[in-house]
Amino acid sequence: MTGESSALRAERLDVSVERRGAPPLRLVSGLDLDVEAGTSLAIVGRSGSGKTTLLSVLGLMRPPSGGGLWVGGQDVSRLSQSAAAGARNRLLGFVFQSYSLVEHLSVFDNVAMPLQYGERTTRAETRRRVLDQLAAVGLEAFGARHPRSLSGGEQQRVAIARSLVRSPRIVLADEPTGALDTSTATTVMQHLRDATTEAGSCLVVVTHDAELASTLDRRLDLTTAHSLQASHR
Amino acid sequence: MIRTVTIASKDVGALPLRNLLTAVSMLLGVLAIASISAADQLVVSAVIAQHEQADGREATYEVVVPVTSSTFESADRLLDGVRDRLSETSAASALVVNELVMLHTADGRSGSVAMSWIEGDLQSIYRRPVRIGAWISAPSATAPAVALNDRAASQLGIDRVPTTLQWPASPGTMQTIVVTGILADGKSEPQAYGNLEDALSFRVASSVPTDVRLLITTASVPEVLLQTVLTDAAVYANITTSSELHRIDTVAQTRATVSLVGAAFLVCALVALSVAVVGILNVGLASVTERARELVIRRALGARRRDLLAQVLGSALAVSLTVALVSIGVVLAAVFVVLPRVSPDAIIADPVTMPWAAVVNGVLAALLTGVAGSIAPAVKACRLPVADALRA
Repeated sequence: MTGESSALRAERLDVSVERRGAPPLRLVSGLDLDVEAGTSLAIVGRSGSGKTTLLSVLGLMRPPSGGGLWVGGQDVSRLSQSAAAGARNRLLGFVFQSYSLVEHLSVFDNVAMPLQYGERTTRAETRRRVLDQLAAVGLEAFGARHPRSLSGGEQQRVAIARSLVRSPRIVLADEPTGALDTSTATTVMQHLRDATTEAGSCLVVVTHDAELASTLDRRLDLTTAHSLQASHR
Repeated sequence: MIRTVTIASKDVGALPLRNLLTAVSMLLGVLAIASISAADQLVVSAVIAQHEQADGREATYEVVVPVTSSTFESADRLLDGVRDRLSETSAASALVVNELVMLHTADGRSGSVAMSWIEGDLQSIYRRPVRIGAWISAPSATAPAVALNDRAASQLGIDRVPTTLQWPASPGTMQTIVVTGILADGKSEPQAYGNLEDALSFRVASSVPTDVRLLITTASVPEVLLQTVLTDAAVYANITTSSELHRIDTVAQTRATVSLVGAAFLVCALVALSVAVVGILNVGLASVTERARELVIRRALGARRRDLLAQVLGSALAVSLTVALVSIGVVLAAVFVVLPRVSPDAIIADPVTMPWAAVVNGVLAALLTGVAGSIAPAVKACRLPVADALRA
């Protein structure tokens, strides 16, 4: 099995973290995962269960301890640092918990940031893509503003626009509404789902919010077992 | 490359106050290096010019010739003998006959002036620029030409040329002489220069000059060989010199002294530059720590380690180049605007030229300081763990 038809596929994926003076701590063992394009997955679990660590493996920020991982049919289990950076840029989009916008750059430049790396785009293409994504999250008039002048919800929508500007296969979101009030969180999640669906990307969200998790297509609970398979909602 | 430059230039605006402080810290060291380079080129030349004005150009030798009423012809032959023997070289030589004369103006002013009667190329031996008019012309059958120094011109109230003076060349006879120029010879006493041939034509034959000196400037003939030339010429002229040939210029000593002072300043500048590097390093490491979140976000979005290395180094280089431009601008303003206005020696030294050494050394100092101060922060930036992007 190679995962060629899936946006994201994991086979017998092991995730562990190194500990100083102690054997590695295994957080996830033998995970099988198959997420189709245009669908969404919630990763839930109690604090310390390894949600964020698993997300960092799926996001090619750290290599898995074992097993196989494919994104868009490409084996990404054992990539060099540089190749992983290229794959993150080309295949993945990220939405972080604390917005993570660059304060001294304009909204436009923040959204354009993934286009600064990897495959080159022309100035006109960059402009078109950025404005398209800002329009998709309802912020087309905010390009010249700086993050500090935006509300939390607006900043997270900018982050959503940034995550989609490279048309990634997967958008990985880490507690995307963790810093927002309930009403704003609902709006932001709506934007996130709509934007990823429209882009044909699959959405993987790490959250401890059961209500939010219930709105996504599938759910993976890291608390229940070490050998896991994602279950349908 | 263009993307790196774009990212680096926008990066300068990330922490404007810190970058400003970095620039100021760097500016002091770079300015010191650029200034010393400019000074080495310009001030040294001005200082040496002053010494060339007073004591002769590099490798100037003098010998005193005994004076009697019949000395002139012999001294003249001595000069001819020296000239013949040095004709294959670029040596300059002159015979200088010194005496005190009284000069009178048409409006009744008069003053005692030290007169040097010249045979030969004195202007190649000393750096004595003519400020007004021209150096003494060829010998005249009617009115000898003289040039005055600033002090003599001031004493006699002369501020434009040509003008005439009266010279009691012999008892009871006033000879008209023409002032063709006013020159800067650095002397504080009134001084005039005229053609020795004119003196022989017009002055009273029995008068005895103060002293007679033979001057030779040659960088290509060793002193020992020059002594031999002089001895041969003295035999040819049937004259005995009353002193050994000795070097009178102070250019070599001055250059050594100025080099020593320059080296001391250079050490100070390098210390300032080193302090700047430490300051930049400190600020850079603190900045990377402060911007760690942004940097790992960039890594998460696809920046490779070398992209972050280029970003941090590029940002430092952008600041460095700005500092270099400011430093060079300050130095050029000092050289071309301030120096000519405040330096009394400006007229003596060669015209100010572009201090390329200052430009090159300023840019190099700024770039080296920037790189040395930012390489550690850049390495730290690219070693930040990308997985930290998921830590809130």
